[in-house]
Amino acid sequence: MRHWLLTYDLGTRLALYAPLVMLVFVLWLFLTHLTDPPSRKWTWKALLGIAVGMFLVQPYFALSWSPPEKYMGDVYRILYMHVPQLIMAMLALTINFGCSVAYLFKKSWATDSLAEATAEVGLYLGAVGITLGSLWAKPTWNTWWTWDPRLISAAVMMVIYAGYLTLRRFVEDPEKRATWSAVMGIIAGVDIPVLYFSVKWWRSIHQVQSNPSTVDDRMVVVLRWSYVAFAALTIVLIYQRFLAAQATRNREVALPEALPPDEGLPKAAGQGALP
Amino acid sequence: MILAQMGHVVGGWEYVWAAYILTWAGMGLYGLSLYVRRSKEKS
Repeated sequence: MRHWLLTYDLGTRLALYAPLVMLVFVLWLFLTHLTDPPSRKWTWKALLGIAVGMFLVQPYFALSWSPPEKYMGDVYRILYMHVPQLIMAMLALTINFGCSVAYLFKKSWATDSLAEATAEVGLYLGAVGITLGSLWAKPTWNTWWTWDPRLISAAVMMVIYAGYLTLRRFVEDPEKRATWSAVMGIIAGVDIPVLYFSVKWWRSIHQVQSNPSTVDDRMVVVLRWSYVAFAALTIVLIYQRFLAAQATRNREVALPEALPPDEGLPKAAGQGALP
Repeated sequence: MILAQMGHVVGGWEYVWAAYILTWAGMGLYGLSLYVRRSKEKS
């Protein structure tokens, strides 16, 4: 029997498309912030509020409202946390790849800071996502880990980006660090499509991506809801990490003669050799 | 307890709760670390 919310076509459509409308709203908030950051500082609080609000109600939808899966029963509910986190990790690391390419064409501290922010947030989301995958694997595959192409490419991704962040920490010269990490970011980015398509390219124990037309509508609604919640959270985390990275960069590249006397930190941005 | 009966997974809520608690804990800890680092940079 279909749930009351999905009884009517209008209800079905509202439930299925409301998360997409919310995603458009989240992206609109973010993009309008970029056009005039000083006048829209409240945007980050709004985005964080949306993410927290969605995460507060998400457990009800994911753990109660959504029906059990035919073969996996209730264990499949890990999917609502596992998949969005890994997709957001891949998106963040794809932005890192884009920033790495952009930096080599046009050197910019902002691009370098965004690369650092996306690598760290991507690594964090990926690490949690993989751990959740391991928690899901134990009851369904009867093992915490197996050397499957999808899992190997995910593990390689984690090792590479951990190395990337280690490289950034050990190189003191900001310009050398930015250039070397941009090169490493490009090399590391090769793994992202391999990770995404591995389940299609090789026969694997890991299932392929599900098609919304083959699963219960409620599962689609909850998964979309979770995607939007994680998207809002990821945007906030990347931006806050970007601001921290940019502040560090400004402090590192500030010219000593440009600083006011008796102060160790610069007060203004853009005092370095790069924009 | 997880039992494979007739090809179906039975139970397993402890894994689901572990996954959700891990995600929430991760969000809290990473958010806190970002807040601390931003505060240090501002001061």
